[in-house]
Amino acid sequence: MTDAIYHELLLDLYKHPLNKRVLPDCDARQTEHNPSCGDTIEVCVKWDTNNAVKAVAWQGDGCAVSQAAASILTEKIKGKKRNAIKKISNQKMLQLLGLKNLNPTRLRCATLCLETLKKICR
Amino acid sequence: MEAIKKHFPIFRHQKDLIYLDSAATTQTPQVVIDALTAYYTNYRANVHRGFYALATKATNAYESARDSVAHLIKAKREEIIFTSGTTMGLNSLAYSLSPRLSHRDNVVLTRLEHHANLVPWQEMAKHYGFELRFIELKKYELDLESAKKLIDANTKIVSFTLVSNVLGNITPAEELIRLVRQKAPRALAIVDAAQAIAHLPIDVKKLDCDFLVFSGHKMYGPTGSGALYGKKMLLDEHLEPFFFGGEMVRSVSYESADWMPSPHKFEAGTPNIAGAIGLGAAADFIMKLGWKKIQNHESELTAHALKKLKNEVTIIGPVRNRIGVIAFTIPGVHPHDIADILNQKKICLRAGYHCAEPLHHYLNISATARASFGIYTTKKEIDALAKGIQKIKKMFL
Ligand SMILES: Cc1ncc(COP(=O)(O)O)c(C=O)c1O
Repeated sequence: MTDAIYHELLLDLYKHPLNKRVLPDCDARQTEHNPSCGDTIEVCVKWDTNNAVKAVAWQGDGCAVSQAAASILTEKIKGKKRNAIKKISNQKMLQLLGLKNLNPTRLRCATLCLETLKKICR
Repeated sequence: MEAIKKHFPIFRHQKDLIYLDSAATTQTPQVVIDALTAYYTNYRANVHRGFYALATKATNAYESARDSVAHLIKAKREEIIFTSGTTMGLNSLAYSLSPRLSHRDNVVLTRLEHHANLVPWQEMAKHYGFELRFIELKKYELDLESAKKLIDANTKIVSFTLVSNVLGNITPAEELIRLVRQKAPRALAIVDAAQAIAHLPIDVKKLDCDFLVFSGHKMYGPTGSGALYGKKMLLDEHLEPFFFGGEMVRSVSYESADWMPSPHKFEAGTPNIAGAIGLGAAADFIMKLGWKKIQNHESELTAHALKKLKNEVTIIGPVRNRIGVIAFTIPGVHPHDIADILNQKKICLRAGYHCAEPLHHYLNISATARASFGIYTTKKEIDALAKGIQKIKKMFL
């Protein structure tokens, strides 16, 4: 199937997610919900002494886009400072996912994890 | 039924469209479009106001649409109030009936209800203090034993759907209303016929409901049209108007006003004239096709779909006593992904909670995908759906 959204990397991440686990005694925890499709993402972060990500994990369920985004993003931010995470744009998120021109409903799926993380970094 | 497709111009304009979302809204046949166009191009005028011939023509068309709608559900013409749809019908009833209720009373709904038959009652309960009760389900069907326990002398309203917009099941409406009459003789029975109106013959006298509501856009009619049926005695003596203004009054002074007889006292202001005329044309279209033909075709489609899908997906709903609204899940694939991938094959179906979020939680499922049929749906289209689903499973699993 020639499919712009459901490319191999995305499907692969959906089937074999990264960093999807429980993180005991984390420093910050945040859950976000996308009511239009019922996607839920919970992100947990542990900071090191420099205010950078020492460990990160996520849990949740939802569509392939939101789930793949969570894997990619949590992978990307390991070792990153709070301020650097705050600066990640939606555009950047799509780029990480290898997607363009998502319709607005799907865009919310793609950025749900990013939104959650930004709340943690506030 | 390919012949029926020809009545619907969208299938000429959208080549290869496989429209499986008729429960959300149906497509429009040419006769309905023609009725709307004729009003706008040949005889547009306001109704019940002008003395000139054009206004008479518009008024006659509007009132004759009322006859058509009455005929469809076997009501009297004075029992039909034009609305903007089911949501407006249910809200009007909730606003109008709730002020008589107190903290001692209860309103009985079911676990199946669409948000439109739940949220208005929740809001009214906040103001007037009555209790909301929900008839439970047993294997997706309304459990009449639960209804027997919940309906009591303090029940003032029982409001329920005739067909679930998620599970597709037809509820035992006649039995439930009989039960209401026994246990709570003064309670009012309201039927939400939004999902039934295009698929089942309805006889309001046989049902013995007090009110029944539906939307035009789910029965091949225009968006923003609909009707509220009420028993004549109730409209005349029980139900208060919910909107006030022109057209609904007989005489007005600076201090007060008195009302026109029903149904006009419930139609304040300039109504959706074109919408009502289109709704009438849609009712005529259904009656002309005939229930036998509609039901034969749709029950064949439903059986075919259940057979084709049953080994591919988890069907959320009963096998029997249902219409062609089929919710399903594929373990391991999110419904939004299902709908998104099918969309690339020009197959339209809905994914999510279908405006019945509590039902999904009650059944302990997250979102579902839903395929729903109309008279223009064909077996070939269902086969395409089944094939699309097989592809999805190959991609994901
Ligand atoms: C059972 C049921 N009730 C009420 C409604 C609300 O209808 P409308 O949005 O046309 O007002 C719908 C439509 O989705 C429905 O399926």
